[in-house]
Amino acid sequence: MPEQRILLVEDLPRWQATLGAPLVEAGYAVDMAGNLSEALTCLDSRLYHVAIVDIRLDDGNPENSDGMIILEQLTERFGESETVATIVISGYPNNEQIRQAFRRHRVFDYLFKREFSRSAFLNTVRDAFDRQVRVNPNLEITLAQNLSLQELVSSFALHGEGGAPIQVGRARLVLELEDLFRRLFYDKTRIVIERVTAGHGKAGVVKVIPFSTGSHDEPVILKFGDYKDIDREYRNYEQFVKGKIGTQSTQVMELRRTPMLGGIVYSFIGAPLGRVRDLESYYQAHTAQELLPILDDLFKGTCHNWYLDRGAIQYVNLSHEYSQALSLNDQKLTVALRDQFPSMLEGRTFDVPELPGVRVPNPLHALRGRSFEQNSFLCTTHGDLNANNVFVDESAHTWLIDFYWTGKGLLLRDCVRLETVVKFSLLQQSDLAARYELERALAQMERFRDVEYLSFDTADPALRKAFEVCRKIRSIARELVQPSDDFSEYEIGLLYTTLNVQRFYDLPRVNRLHALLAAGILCEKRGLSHEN
Amino acid sequence: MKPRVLVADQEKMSRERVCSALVDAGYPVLPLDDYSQLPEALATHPEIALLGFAVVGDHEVEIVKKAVESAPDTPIVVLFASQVIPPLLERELFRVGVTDVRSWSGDVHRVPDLVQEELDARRAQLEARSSYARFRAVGAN
Repeated sequence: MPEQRILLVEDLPRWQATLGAPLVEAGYAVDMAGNLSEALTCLDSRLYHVAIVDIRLDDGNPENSDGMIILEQLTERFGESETVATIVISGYPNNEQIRQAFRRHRVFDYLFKREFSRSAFLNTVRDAFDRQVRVNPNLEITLAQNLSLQELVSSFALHGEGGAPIQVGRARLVLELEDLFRRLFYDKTRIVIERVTAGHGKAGVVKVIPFSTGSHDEPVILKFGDYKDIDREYRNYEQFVKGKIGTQSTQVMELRRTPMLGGIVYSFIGAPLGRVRDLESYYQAHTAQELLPILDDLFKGTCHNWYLDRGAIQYVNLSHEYSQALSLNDQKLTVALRDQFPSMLEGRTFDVPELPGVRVPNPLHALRGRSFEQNSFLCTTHGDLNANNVFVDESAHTWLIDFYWTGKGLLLRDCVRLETVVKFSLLQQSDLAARYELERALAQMERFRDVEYLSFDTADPALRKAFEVCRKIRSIARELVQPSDDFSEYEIGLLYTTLNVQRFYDLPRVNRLHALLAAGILCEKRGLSHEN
Repeated sequence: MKPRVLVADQEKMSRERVCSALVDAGYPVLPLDDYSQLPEALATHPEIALLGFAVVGDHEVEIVKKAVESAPDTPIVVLFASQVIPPLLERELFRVGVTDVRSWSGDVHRVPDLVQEELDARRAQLEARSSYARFRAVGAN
């Protein structure tokens, strides 16, 4: 059975035995720290559910209150969360320390050594597990479809408060992920975890089927990752999603964290999740004609309220907005291109060896130092409308998850993002020349009204589907900005979002080349080259 | 308009001194001389409640516990006129959920500052209530 882990911080051997023995006998896994330094080392290196902390950690020194420093550390690391329950045990309680412990550090309880009773002590620890930590050591976790916990944490990227990456061992992450499952499904007997998307981001998304004593409940979607990212996603959900989008409103059912990871459980109320699939698999399994109503439902149904509440038109720096929204800059692009396309870092033009005679402006060079400003609308947008964040139920209704990037943005941002997803992620076509022709066909548009006459002559069904879907997205974008017929904002957005595709390292080389070509064609079309 | 303060104290002199100090500082005050009426008084949603006791034992802790249970979102501060509060008693009061335990120790003019401190701390806590509290909040529902 997985351990219920306790850190016991106590300097006196007699009290270490008095407190430690009953805990071990009761089945808890106990680590002993005899001073401040040992306690901090333990907290840095291992996962605990409960910390039992003596305040005076040098019994010969009445001034010592190192236990209060440990409380500070626990507060700094876990705030008011239920991650680690803290129980103070003191031989020399004083009013101010009691006050600080409860008010500032939100301790679960404060015990006096002089009134120590083994049974009361064990009851307090049990209460801390039951009422605060709520971790289910008996939960049976079944990983379906050959999934493994190692695979689920394989692409995790954790970071500190300032954004600097944190290196964490795989074994620790696996332990934390399992612990997270045991917290999120505290009141269940069993969960079955299934793969739901093929995507690999810095967080994970799975489908979970929970069981309560025999019968299974409605499946849910679980997103997990760095707890700070999950927190941001939940904040955005509260601010922009809850009660604010269409009838297909995703609901947050549960939110928990471990020291490093956070998890958020989504439910699509009213849609049997067993028959819901993500847009990626839906796209691959359906024809263009079947996909077009899905796009209508997504933009005119699910996201409609966001786009409706757009306020007045305003003068906007598009370059700044897209760079911010995509977290994109010259340095990041340079890093992204260095390995596979080093020539892009120097030349003013882009000559594609695979396509003799094709030369387009080097978009990296053409965009350097440029800024595009024009009138536009700002409204709430999803911000990362990719095929793994959109789900389709059996009634062809769409549902959203992943609100990490949700917030104020340019009205056309979601349309632009989805077009790049279709062309550079969903389109299965290994022939670069065919992709180039698709791009040339899409580049025929000068004004939004041209979408009506946009045509592409191809016998390839995958290219035909991608073209039809992109045309549909542009038609929807046209409706969003009506009565304006100005297509330039869409194109500029497309340019930045297409360049950003280079940062998706797991995409095949041909897809990334396609994106470079597409960005080059957009530069050419807008007259952005080294000459001007 | 300053926030409304509930002042419950069966000791007439203490209650009147505390109320008077608060009124002088501009606070609307709801005085109460009978602890049994605390749930009804708390139901009128004062911004903060001050519960004054001369002596505290198990009975008083029980009164406080019921008050906290009836108004879990209202900050409840237990006020002592005496300087010394036994640690055991202070711990029991925190255990039942009071926001703070304070002494005004003869200087009743400290009470308005104390109320302001509590309200400021409460506001800061609510504003800063970010991830950490939320990680608890949803699950609890």
